[in-house]
Amino acid sequence: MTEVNLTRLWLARFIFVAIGVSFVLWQIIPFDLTAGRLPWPDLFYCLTMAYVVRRPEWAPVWGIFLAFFLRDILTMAPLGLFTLAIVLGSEVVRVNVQAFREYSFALEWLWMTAIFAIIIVSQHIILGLMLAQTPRFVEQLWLVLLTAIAYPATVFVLKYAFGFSRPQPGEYDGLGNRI
Amino acid sequence: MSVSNDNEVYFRRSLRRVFIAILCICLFAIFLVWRIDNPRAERFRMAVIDRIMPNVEWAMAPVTRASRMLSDFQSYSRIYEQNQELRRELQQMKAWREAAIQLEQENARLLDLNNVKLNPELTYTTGVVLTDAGSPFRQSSLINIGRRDGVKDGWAAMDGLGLVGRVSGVGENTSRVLFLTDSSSRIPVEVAPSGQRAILAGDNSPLPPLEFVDTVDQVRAGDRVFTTGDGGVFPPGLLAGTVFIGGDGRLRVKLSADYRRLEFLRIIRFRPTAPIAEPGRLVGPTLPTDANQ
Repeated sequence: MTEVNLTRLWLARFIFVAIGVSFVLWQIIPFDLTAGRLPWPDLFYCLTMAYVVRRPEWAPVWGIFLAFFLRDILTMAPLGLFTLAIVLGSEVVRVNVQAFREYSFALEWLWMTAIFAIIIVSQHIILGLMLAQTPRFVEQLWLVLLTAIAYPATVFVLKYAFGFSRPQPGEYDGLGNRI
Repeated sequence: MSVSNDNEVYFRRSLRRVFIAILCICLFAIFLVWRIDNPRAERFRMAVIDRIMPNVEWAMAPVTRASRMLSDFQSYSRIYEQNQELRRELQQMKAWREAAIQLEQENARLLDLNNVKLNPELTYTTGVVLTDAGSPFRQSSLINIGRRDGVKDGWAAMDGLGLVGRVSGVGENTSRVLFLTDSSSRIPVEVAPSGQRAILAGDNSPLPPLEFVDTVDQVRAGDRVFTTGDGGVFPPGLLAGTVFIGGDGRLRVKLSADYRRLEFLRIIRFRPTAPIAEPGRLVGPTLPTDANQ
């Protein structure tokens, strides 16, 4: 074990939540209020998943919960449903993080797209079963497609602008454990 | 040493697992509450938004402004064509303005002759659009006036020209306007020259369809669609848009309000007239009741 810089760790966690909140605020800026326009890709999902693979200790589950629950509240989405899905999804990745780090990037990309598609489809099915209003399925398909396209871009920005690379075996993570 | 360390790791891992399970159960419970007691959950949401939004407005306002400027800047590239177009439209508008003034004067004279009283209670208050719903679940936006300014649920919201939607959810300082395009919006309307009654039903598309039209044959493309006072929610005679026949042959409405650049919304204050609850009675001296006989 090496010495852990606690200030740095908590600062990084705080920054993650702050980025999440600013993404949410960006999402609700009234640019164009016509119905049926193309949805924005879910960049915050991409960011969260990229964090969980590269720096899981900087994206703690309570941070993910806080930011996504705030998003559910502000965007008039069903309360708690997407948050539940993303908490489960990010836990699946977190538990198998070693495997995800050994995958090639294409495989990681495929997995993240698959997880997002599963989240969206199961959300649609649950809302349908509960007889709640569902958004139009075509729009949801566009959302999945655009998010899939946005994932490599997010990872690229994180890697080359902010230096997030996948930890190599033998490095220490933010909690001071050897990987 | 290593054994106790392993134990500790194992302990922390199971603690974490329990925490995640509790979190998931709580989230699912919140979702169930949202579904079962929806009005209460939406009131909770409105209260939270009401607390948050005035505090982050200062941060969002410059971004909103900058993005609007950027989109305006993009339109500078076509400035010459736009100018020509505007000149032509202005020319036409002048002719219409002349006609409108003459009609207004004539109308005023006729109203005066007939001693007609128009509804004086139709006043409005104006709010600034703060946010978009930001998700495909709801077509709505938040405005910066609320209960403090006397806004009530169900009042109509218009931009300068046409109906935009109705107030649905009022907080202390903010309120939410549900657009006509939202899939839960149903407005009783009248199609202008033929007087056909119909329901304007939003379906999350930019052109909401007309449903339950009395006689479909009498409705033509280009007819104007107004609200009726039916149901006592909206004042009658607010312009919603013009009829448009969609690619699938359904009657749809091209909304007059410009949803792309909504910046201010007019909230129409409306108190429906007192309903007539009982049939007319005989006018005259009160008759002795049966008990006295």
